[in-house]
Amino acid sequence: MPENNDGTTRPALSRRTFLKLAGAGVLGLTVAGQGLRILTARAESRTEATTAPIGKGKRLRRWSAVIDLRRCDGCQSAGTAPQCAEACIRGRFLPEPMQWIEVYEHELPGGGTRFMPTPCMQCQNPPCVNVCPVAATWSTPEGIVLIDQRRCIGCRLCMAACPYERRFFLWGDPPLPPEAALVDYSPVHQIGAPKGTVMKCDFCTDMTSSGRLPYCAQACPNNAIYFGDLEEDLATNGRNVVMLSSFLSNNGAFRSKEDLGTKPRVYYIPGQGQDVGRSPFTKGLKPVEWPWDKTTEGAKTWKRSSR
Amino acid sequence: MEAVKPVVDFEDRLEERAFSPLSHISAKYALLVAVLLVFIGLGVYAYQTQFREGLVVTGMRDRISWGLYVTMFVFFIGISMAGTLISAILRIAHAEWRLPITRMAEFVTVAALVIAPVFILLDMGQPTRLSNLFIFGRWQSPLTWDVFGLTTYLIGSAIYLYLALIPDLALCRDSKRLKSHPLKWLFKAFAVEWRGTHSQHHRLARTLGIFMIVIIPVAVSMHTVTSWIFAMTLREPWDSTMYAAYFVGGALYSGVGVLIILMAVLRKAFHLEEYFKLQHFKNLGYMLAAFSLIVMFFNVSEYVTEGFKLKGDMHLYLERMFVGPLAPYYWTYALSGMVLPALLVAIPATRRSIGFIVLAALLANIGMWIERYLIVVGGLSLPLQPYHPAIYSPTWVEWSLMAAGIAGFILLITLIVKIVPAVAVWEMLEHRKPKPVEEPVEELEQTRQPGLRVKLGSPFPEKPTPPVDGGRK
Amino acid sequence: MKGTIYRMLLLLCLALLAAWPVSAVFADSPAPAKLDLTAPSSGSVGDRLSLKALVSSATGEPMPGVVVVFKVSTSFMNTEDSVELGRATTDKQGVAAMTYVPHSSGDLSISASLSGDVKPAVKSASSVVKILEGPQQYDSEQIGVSVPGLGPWFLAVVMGGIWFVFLWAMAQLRQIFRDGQHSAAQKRTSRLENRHV
Repeated sequence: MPENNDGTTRPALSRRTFLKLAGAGVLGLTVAGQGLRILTARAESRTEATTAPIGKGKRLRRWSAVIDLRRCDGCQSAGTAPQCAEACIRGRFLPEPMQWIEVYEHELPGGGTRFMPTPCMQCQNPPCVNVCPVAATWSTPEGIVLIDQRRCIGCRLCMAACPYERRFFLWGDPPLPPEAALVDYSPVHQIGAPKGTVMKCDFCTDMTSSGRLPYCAQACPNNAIYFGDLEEDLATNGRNVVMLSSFLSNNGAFRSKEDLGTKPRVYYIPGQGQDVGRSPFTKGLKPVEWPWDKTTEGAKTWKRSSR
Repeated sequence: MEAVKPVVDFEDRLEERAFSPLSHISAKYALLVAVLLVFIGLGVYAYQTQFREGLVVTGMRDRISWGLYVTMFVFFIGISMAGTLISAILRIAHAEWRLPITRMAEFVTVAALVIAPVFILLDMGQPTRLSNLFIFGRWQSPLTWDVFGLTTYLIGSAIYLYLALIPDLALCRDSKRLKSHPLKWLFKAFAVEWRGTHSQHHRLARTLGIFMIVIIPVAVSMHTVTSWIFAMTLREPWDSTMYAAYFVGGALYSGVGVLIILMAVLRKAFHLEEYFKLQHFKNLGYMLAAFSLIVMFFNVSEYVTEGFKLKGDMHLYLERMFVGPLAPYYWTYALSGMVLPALLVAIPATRRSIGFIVLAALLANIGMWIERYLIVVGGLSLPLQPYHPAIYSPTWVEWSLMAAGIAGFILLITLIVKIVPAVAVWEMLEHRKPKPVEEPVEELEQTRQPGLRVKLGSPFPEKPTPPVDGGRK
Repeated sequence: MKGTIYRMLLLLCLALLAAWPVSAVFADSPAPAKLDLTAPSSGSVGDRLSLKALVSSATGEPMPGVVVVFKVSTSFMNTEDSVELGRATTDKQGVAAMTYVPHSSGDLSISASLSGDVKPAVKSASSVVKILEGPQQYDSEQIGVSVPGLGPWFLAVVMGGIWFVFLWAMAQLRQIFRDGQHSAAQKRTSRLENRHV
């Protein structure tokens, strides 16, 4: 045993040392426990399914969309702006420059153009989820990429990573209609997200879970947007039901920027609106309008680019 | 009050030069601090506006969603390479001309690493949620790597700076010149009872030796993960495997540049002409030229391979950059930011003037700032969907915060050179000391050193060595 | 020149006239009149169900070369429709066969009908198959590459190693401090001793 200066022996573990060690141990355990709690809590909240499984079994939905470009004329025949985008804006109270589903006009090889309604591709190898530093955006087991705006720090790395430019930032306080205040925030509809966070198409997860079609599919006057489940192998545009796998194969479906390896869940059937009588040389879209009053108090609206 | 003795020998003069900035504050200095504080105040006001209104007050929008803030972040991370490079790499290489400048290089690193993350904070839409990075951090995200890298590099650099500072703090503690210095207690506390004993020397040398080997890969990884923030995305201009090397090269280049500028400023301000000689500027100038060649090489390698294949939308990107709206930026960067600095150093007539070498460093840093801006904004301006490329024009808020960031960086250095000596006094003294004969162990170790001794010309006058105890009793 | 064209046209008309009776012969041959569907009575999701449709004439002869469409009536997202499962052409025995892998459970009403506008119309055949819910996920996509032995622990070890060096350096400072204290104490003692002497 060690000796004190006066020659008396003292215990190998003095009370002081013991208290110190015990204190450090308790502190260490608390920190470790807290860390473990956070880690496990995250794992739980991020593996939750958003939709009930198929039938009474355990099989989960695998949501996907098919957009039949043969039936999309950019709402030229209806003489309106693209109805899918407008319905989405109204349904989700999107502030001015946001179009979660946006109709882009692509050049065709033989001249003329075709319209491509472009929602979030709900990639299965999502670049945005891969880069998020705080797991504020994640893939649900059903394959939908959602954003939790209560956690998002607004670094916009996901926006830089998205090769489809389908993520939008709340640059300021958006003007919202009064009815938006009645909705409690949830990542499945994102209504009530604070400024400084990222938003994007959520495949209307709150509606599909109760068997309703998303706003865009409901609004399409030509029923060009099919919404389906790869697990049950069915898709519907609200009028017809198709067998998803054969519908894709038989019509030569493709996915946007497939070579990037993002594995999107949105499929396109090639075409330029011929099934609804559009000529590829009828160019131009009517611009989308946002119905919200721009003078909402405290609201700061913005445009696409700074000029 | 005892009369100040006339400065006679090297040691005394060195101490006088190194410690006099610590003991008094000139009007010019106060004015500089005041001006810097005004800029920082402007930045605080701008940030208040941004905090209240959101990022809507900036020029960033959905299509170009990063702007000056991220540019500045990358720029400062690049500058932070200076300390590690000069002090660690040259220390390993036993380049003795490094001795007077290592300390400053380490200042630059620490100051740059303090300022860089501020710009990430400024860029965040929800800055109050910064803690989420630690609570919910995903180790798979490039931004988390940056958080890891930055914390490690900053703390490592601070420790490294401090380790090499200890004997100087002890000198400050013991110096008669700083007898009534208000921060004397600080010197005493941080000098960790340094008495210059043999065992202390031995221990410090060993710690520094291991630390400088560890800090180099940490620095390289810092620049690597910063480049990966961009390279881990699928955007064509950023989608490059050589980005990490490119960023490390660029960081070396701009780091040396900032060091040359700081050296020139302190030389004038603190009358350190005896220690920062033309030879130092020349040596750093050679390094600057070498790194500019490396950056040029990366440019050629990147754009020739991309331009030959013209994969995807690269034709549009290259067209915009070489002949389109981004061409003024690119060619300014390429010609005056890369070629001209190299030429200024390469031509003997300009190389002989410190002014020209400083000009080269200044041009190099302006060029590298433009290069970072091109990477961030130019990369984002390439449209991913069929529409016309978007335009980004920063607002006053962004310009003010950028100015405030630069002012903050300068202020940090301004403050630190007033607190601790800007040159490594003890290392320079030690260099001049004759090798002690009574320590054969040290001699043995010296002879065992591998053949890394690079001597790029010693800047010290070959004077007869002063007595070992230097008359300091 | 013109004469040649007229002559050719005449020849073409003659050829068409000559062919007329031939098509009439086809029309007279037995038309498909009967359609029978054979399907298993039960199965579960993911099973390979064999669907067979027998097409025969009124006299009971097998009809080769007839395209049969298989359908199932279903309801999805509140939309009810008859979904085409696939098509098959009858072989020499008059049998059109396809394999159906059901992805939905319940009592599926599968039907077979002839493709196109067949005159006289042939009644479609249907059959109810009871499909039980399966346990496994049918659609699954493997994302990412898993390298055995490589994981976050590697990052942790590297980071831990670096931070260990940092801590070690701090520990060295402690030692330097102690050395300094020690030497100061020694000096004090020697000075005291000197004074005593």
